[in-house]
Amino acid sequence: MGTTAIAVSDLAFRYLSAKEWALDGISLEVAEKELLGISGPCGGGKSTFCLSLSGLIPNVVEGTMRGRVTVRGFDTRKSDVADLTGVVGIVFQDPRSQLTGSAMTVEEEVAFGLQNLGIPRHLMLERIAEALDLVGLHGFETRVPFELSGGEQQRLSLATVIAMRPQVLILDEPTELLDPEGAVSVMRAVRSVHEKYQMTTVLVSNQPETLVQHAERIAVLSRGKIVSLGTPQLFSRQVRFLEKLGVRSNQVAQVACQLDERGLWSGDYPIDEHQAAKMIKRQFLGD
Amino acid sequence: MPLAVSVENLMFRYPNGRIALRGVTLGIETGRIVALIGKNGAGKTTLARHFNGLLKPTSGKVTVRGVDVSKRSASEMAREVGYVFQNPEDQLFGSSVFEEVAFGPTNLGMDEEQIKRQVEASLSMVGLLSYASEHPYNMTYGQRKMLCLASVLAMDTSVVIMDEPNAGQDYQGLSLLGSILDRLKRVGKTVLIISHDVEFIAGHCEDVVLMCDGQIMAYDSAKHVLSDQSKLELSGARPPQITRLAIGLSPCGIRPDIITVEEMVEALVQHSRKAG
Repeated sequence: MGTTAIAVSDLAFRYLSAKEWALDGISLEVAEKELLGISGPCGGGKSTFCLSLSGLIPNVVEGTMRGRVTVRGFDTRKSDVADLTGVVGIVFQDPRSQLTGSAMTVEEEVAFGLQNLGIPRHLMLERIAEALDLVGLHGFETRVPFELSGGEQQRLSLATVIAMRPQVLILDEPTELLDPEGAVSVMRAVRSVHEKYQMTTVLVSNQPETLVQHAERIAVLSRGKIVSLGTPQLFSRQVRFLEKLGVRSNQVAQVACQLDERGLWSGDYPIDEHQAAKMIKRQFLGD
Repeated sequence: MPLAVSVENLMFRYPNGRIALRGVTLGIETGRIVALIGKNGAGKTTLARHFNGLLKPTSGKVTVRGVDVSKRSASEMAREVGYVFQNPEDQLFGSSVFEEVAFGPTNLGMDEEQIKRQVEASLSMVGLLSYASEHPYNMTYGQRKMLCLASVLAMDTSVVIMDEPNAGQDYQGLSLLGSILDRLKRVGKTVLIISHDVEFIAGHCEDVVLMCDGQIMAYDSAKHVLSDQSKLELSGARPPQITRLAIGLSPCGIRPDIITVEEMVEALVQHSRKAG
């Protein structure tokens, strides 16, 4: 593994006037260029964790923070949000909460963040074109953001963030509210961005198919703690454990697990249907 | 059995000129749990909003339990058809969970005792009884969606429409939703559920309507529609993962219309018995 892009040490956070800690002692390192997946039940701390990585906690969101978060060498407690804007970008679940609402065109929407960073105009135009191209919105420059489909809006949110070239990209359930086509288009864009800029990426999702397909490691957050961290293979192996936590596993892993409990399965559980087909053919269908 | 909902050659054009429904004909039998799927913009919500009169047909006819929807007032329709909106923010306004759920039954003219019974029964069904005195905005998104569902269930309508109730729900929320559907089925309610979650639909819905571009592409048993890969993909959807696996294994003798994990396990157990 390469150098560390994100270092989290004994992080805890309690929202103002909340009784319980939303995060309760999280330690984790994310390597440069890594794509880390995060899953977990509602209320488990996933979004709070994203806010902590982006520096919005503790700088904007009120509450009590313990421990330390360092993103590319910046200690989030000692840096203000403006310093962190060029370092870490965050895309939220609902694209409508991300778009400015004041931009009349897709191009202006992407320009907004760049203007705030004080990027010169010729560079800005280049960046806008490149960002839109990368998320598959080339040709949408003069369209109205609020007339786009959910998937297009979410890709536009992604474009506004990557145009600022953050070194770390945080995606908080970016496909949960989209239809399957929109979700695939957004994940395709995330993939292109990750391949092109090699940004360290944290992807929060409750869609196991998305996680095992894209993430190198998957962390499971429950009651503010990391209760599992490992490869997609390990994640697929934990069907019953995840079920108890309220986290869905892939259907193919569920099949392997149920057969295993009847003594009819040997070896790893599959992470996708292609692996499952091979394993089942070998074990059951004499192939 | 009379039809709970019947739609004849329904066309709908929005004021901006966009045609959202292009001649939809559909009959839903009383007591069925039906899923409505298709990509965003296909016309699912537009169609469902005709069932309780929220939208009026540009042409064509919608009847609920034999009565033309366009001839009845919104308040009359509210007794027949409950509608759970996709976004809880569009629906919630009460200052306590109890008050929120009591709103519908109060407007239907139920007496206090009856209201209390209805509210408690529906809150308990969605697992929120202990939250009765809380403010809705102190709840998570998933809980607020459940609260919306409870406030519709409290009106005890014969038809219940749910617009993407599983968006934003985790596994526990989905299991709860599944058990609510099963329970509504047992008491004979007709349920129409708009959703993208084909795994969930395969487990809890009997029939599936597949829509694309303002038209119905397929209306059949869940098993039939969810295993029709080419038709689903043409409409921007895809079969559940387990069905994609079954289709991949069909040259080796596995049925390609398996839509649940349990069916696949059973098929493989049978296979190993025969082999072994």
